[in-house]
Amino acid sequence: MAEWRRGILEKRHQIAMALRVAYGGVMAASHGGHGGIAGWADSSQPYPSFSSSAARPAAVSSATNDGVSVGNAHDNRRRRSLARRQQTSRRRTRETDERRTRETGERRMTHATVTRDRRMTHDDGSVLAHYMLGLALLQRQESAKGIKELEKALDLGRGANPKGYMVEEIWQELAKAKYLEWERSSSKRSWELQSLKEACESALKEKHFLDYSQMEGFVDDATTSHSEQLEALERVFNTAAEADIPTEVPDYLCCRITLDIFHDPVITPSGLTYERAVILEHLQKVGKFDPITREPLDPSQLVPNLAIKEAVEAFLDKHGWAYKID
Amino acid sequence: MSGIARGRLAEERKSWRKNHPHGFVAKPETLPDGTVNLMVWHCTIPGKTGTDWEGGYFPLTMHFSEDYPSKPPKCKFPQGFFHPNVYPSGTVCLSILNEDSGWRPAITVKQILVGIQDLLDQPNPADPAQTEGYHLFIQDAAEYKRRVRQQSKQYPPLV
Repeated sequence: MAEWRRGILEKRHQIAMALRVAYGGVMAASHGGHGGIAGWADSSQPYPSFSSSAARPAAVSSATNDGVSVGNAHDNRRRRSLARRQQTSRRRTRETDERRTRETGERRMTHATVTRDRRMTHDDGSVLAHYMLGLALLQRQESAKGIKELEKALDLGRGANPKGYMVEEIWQELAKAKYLEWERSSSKRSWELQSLKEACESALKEKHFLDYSQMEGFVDDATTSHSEQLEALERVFNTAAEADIPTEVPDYLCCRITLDIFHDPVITPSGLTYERAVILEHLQKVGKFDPITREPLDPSQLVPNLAIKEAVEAFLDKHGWAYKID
Repeated sequence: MSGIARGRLAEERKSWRKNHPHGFVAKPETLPDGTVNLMVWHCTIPGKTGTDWEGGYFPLTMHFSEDYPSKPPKCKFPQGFFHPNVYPSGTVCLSILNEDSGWRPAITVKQILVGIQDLLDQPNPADPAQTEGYHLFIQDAAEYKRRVRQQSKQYPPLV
């Protein structure tokens, strides 16, 4: 049975190939893809999928059964199952094509997001390279390396175009990564502190129990000293956990325009510090004056405030929760 | 500047939620589809205790432009609000809301609302915005007080 079937398939394949040569691909054009003989010859389908018997060439029609007599009912059943298979195959092909189109579109969109509105100068390529590499490393859970790459991208971006959209985008990704890193280390720290605290408490209880059994006449004193020790222990552990409790960023580390923590602070001749991108935009769109003192101000007069920048970095190193972006 | 405006307003909202003066309300507008429009805030200013404005909770809408905080928000009471420094349209006339004089980007929503609350009981006759309120304030103090008390009753606290 299997040999008979294989024989038919081989013969059909030969006929299809011969027709393909004879028709010169005309059938493929008229029936399209899996619909024509040429398409079938290339496809993995076991049967040619003619859309109707009218489209079926006589040569193929006569050769279909190749001398094997099959009953009409059997033939009809075969045709029905063939039609079902063709439908499924077409649907799969259509779905695959749609998925490919969608994925290509998404890839294009992602690339467009990164390369849109390109205003960077000579560093553009390397900014983009470091940024993409950083994102890829973060995706692979290599956060330390990813953060390093994003920091490089941010430094290069600020040098090239401090108020470009990309600098903000890089900062957002970097802040997200650093916040997640802080979250991980913070939960690890709090777990360690909790374990240590429990160990200390149980050790104190044990000590208290031993003291209690030895000091018969001084029970009250022992209880008092034990509760004092427990309170002191609580204070010590609360102090240790303080750095990881989100509070508020001090005002002196925040820009008076954005009310947000400084990313790239610059100082004006009047002694006020602003976020570089924001003050540059103010000078460009609103007017060349200090937004708070209203004294004349030119972009060339802005100087990086390195002291504040270092203070911000020190604060963020200690309080990673401040990276959180709502 | 839209990104800056929205970022700043997000910070303002966060700061307000953490701490705001008692009796005041300030929240961004919620659109019919459930999304929040940070560029329009609906606020309530309580009348100061011990003044004729006491007991009134006055609705105010703040409209922020894409140039905020370089440019101040436009603050509006309901149309026809009775006060010497409120235009017939409801727009508040206040120095700190004037781009060319008192406005500074460092001024917060909280400071604006407290400033407007102060203005209610301390009008500035040098900068009148409506005829009726100004004339009564200057010429007929008793009638002015009566009108203020009457208006305060029109805006009871929202339960």
